[in-house]
Amino acid sequence: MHLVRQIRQLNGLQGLRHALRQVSTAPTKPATLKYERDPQPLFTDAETQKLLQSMTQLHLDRVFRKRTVPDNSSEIKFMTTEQLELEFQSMVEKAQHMLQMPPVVKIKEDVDRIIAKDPALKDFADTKFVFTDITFGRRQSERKVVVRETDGTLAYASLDTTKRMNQLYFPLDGRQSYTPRMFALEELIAKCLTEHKYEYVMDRLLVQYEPHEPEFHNISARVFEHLNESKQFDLLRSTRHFGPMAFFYAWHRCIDDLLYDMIRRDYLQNAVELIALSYKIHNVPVEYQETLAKLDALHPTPAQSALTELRSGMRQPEGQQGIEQEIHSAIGKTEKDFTADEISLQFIEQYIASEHALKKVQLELAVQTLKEVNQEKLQLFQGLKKAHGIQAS
Amino acid sequence: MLQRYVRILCQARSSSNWNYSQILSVKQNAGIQYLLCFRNTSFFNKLPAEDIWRGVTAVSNAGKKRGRGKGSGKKVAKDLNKGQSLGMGRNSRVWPGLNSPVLRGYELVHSQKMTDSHDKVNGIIKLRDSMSNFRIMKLNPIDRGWSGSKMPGRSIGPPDSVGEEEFSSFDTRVLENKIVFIMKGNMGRKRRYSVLSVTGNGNGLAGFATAKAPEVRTALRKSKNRAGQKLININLCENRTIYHDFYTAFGKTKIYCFQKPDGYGLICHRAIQTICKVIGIKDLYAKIEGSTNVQHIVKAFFIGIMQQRSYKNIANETNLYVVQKQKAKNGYAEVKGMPYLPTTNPYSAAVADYMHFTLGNKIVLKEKKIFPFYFNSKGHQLYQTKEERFRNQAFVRLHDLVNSYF
Amino acid sequence: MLPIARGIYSGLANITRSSRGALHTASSLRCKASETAEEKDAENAEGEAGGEENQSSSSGPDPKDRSKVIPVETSMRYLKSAAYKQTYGNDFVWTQYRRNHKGMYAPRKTRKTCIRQGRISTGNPCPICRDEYLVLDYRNTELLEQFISPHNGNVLSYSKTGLCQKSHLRLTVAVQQARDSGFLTYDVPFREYDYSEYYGQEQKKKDIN
Repeated sequence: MHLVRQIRQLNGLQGLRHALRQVSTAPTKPATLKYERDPQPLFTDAETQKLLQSMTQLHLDRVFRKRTVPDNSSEIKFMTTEQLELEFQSMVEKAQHMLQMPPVVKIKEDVDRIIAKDPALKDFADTKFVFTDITFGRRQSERKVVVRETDGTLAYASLDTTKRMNQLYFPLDGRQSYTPRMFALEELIAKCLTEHKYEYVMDRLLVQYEPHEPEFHNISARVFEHLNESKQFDLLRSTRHFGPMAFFYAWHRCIDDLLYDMIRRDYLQNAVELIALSYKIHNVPVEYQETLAKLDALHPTPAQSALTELRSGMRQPEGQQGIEQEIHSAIGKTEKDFTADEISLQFIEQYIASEHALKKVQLELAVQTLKEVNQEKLQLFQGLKKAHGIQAS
Repeated sequence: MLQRYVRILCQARSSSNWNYSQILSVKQNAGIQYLLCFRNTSFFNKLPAEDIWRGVTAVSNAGKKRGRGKGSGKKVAKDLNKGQSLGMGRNSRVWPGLNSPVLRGYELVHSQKMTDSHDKVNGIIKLRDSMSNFRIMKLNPIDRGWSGSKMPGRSIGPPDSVGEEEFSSFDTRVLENKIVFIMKGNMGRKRRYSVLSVTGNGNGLAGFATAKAPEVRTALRKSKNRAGQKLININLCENRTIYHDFYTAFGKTKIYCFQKPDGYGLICHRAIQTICKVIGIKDLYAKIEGSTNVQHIVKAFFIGIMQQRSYKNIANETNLYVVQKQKAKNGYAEVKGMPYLPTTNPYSAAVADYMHFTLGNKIVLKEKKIFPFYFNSKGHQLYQTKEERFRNQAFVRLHDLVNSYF
Repeated sequence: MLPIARGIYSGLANITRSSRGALHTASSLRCKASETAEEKDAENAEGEAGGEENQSSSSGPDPKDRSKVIPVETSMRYLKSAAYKQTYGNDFVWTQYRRNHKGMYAPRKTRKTCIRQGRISTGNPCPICRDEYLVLDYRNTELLEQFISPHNGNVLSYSKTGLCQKSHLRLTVAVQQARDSGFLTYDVPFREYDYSEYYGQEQKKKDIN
């Protein structure tokens, strides 16, 4: 093991300045909702993950939106059909990677772990010594950082010190060595939230803090709470933060606003999934697996739908199928969608009728409007089909 | 007698600006008085003002042929009558019947002194001074051309409208303005001005033309209007750049043009820059090889830009998909061109390089970067090692400044 | 210069002169705007503002004087005002600015500062220094956004904007502060999570089971 000695002058200028900054900046207002239990086992559960991913959706234009890069050049290539197909697949994989959800874990408590007490070393130096393992290729969580106090105690460094040392030797791109002013001052974060810069705040939060830090929990909870009030859920849709957000609402039994938004935007499957997630987390004895399985059979996964969307850019076969496609594109729904809608509406109504729903009137209204719109669409769909002479299957 | 004469002289001096040196001299000596050769005529009062001024301002015919009198501080004829009025002089008076009515009401107007004469005289002098030195008006820096106050690169406005057709959204820029001579048996060496200008609406419609005329102004107007008659429609890629890299040539001028990403700008010869601005191309890199004759550059560039192929045509020609991957979109692959009959042969795509295809199987010679002579010397290495400890100084200073809010 | 060409030049000069006139009127308008701003301030604090008004009315303000500190709020209001619109139109603050220099190529760096001892010390001050109501501050996002490249998110170089070195430094500082405070957003680098770092032990347990 390669050990490097790092001397920190706690009484030096740097410490003073740090202290000054600490004094001048008030801590942010704590969020009201917290994870009381460890949410990790439920979150990492394969079924939960699937539900969350499905709810997140995958809009390629959202995921691959234009970003600022040092070199914004483009490359033009010739490709055969097979190569193009491979390219599409790799793109969807890349998009899924970009939507990787940040881990949801419980707050890690700082515990003193003393290795040895050597009173003989007392007053050897008037500064602490921090030893950091900087072996190449080791994981951050496995990296050992120990501190020799001035009174001769050798102990594992606190989480704060460990993070600081890790950042010093293996800097994470975008992480600041100090608390960003945005997170330090209450009015600034409030301003960001009122301006609906949710994605920006969340992106910075991910980079700045580890998922097990209390600040991470606090700020992310605040963002989600604010979102629940402003109801701008669409801003986070198809980003990596949507999954944790939905999980947060399901955990704290406040899914109704998100549910309403999903019904209003005609994402019925997502609504069903959200309800199912909530049932799963709170162990409600309702059989949801069956409905989900039915819906899965009818609906493609986000990755599949993204692929079909990509492929639709390529040539379409001519003939009768073309007409059918045209009808679909005009109405926006296929026969499968109508059956799926029926199943999901049934499930949603069941939820609204149960004691779990809090905003019953609002949800019922939304469902009613959607039903009417769907009815109209179905009629139009059947009429068009008849007119074009396509047999009803 | 003598006193009277002197008085007249004084009066003459005071009343008008009369140059009394014509009255040569008056000697006053113990009552004897005589006049020395008095002459009443000179070219000042014999010739009209125009002819007198020509002596100062113009250059003789022979001199003109030799190219004299073209300097910037050229003299201009002044109109000395400007600002003057009859009966008004250094000592302004009211002269009834001359500069005022004889009767005012029922009262007879008497000759009287007028006030504020001093300002008037000064005003006239100022007016004359302002007439004398003609200054070239200072150009706004925005309107400057390629070089100083020369015409090339400058805008001369939209072409004149023809009937109903108006060119209001157009802008014309001069590319070349030069003197050309022709020799004729009976006329001798005849000089004309040749102007090459390019006009366009900044949205893919542009034209260029040369015109010659004996005067610059007419040449400019002619070429501008002629360019307006020769408009060419140019398709722009994403409304800002060219469709693909291309090679084009006219005579000994060879141009390599490259499509560039948004925000790159126009990195090319100033003539191409001006043409691109007029057409509406915003991002382009072009390298000229060979002659940089402006007329040839313009022709070569227009030929190249007209011979561009769309993505669809390229795809059909090669039977391969044309796919664009943007780095700003994290490598998002966008299908730009689809062939009617896509090939299934994977080998053809591996062989076909897009750049080779668009440049006509030419390969751009990328020169090796040449480092300065001292680059590998010991002294330079020493300098670099010494400098290394200051490499983050600027960042640290900036960081300190950033973290001090007030 | 040939007499024929001269006519055209004078025509062009007329155009430029008229545009300059527009600038002048705009600047006077701006003065008015600032006065109204002062008046508004005066309503809040009557005692001080009276003196200020007297000053402005008694002697014509020195156009080169920059000793007066203009608050950011005034600047932010100015950027939204009609006076600003008239002066700059839809262009950026720096688009209509050209550096004066000898010879073909401009010096690599711009001048150190335009303002010395509270006065403009140059005939062609940089876009920020020439208009005293443009205040570089992290809260003045509307102004800062004009100096940020939409393609790579960097602060535009002074070779492009023509800012003097001092203003450029203040600009970079203001932009970084604005980003740190959340006034300006930027694309945060993507952070990839190694799930095993956070869930590793649990998964191991599961494997054993």
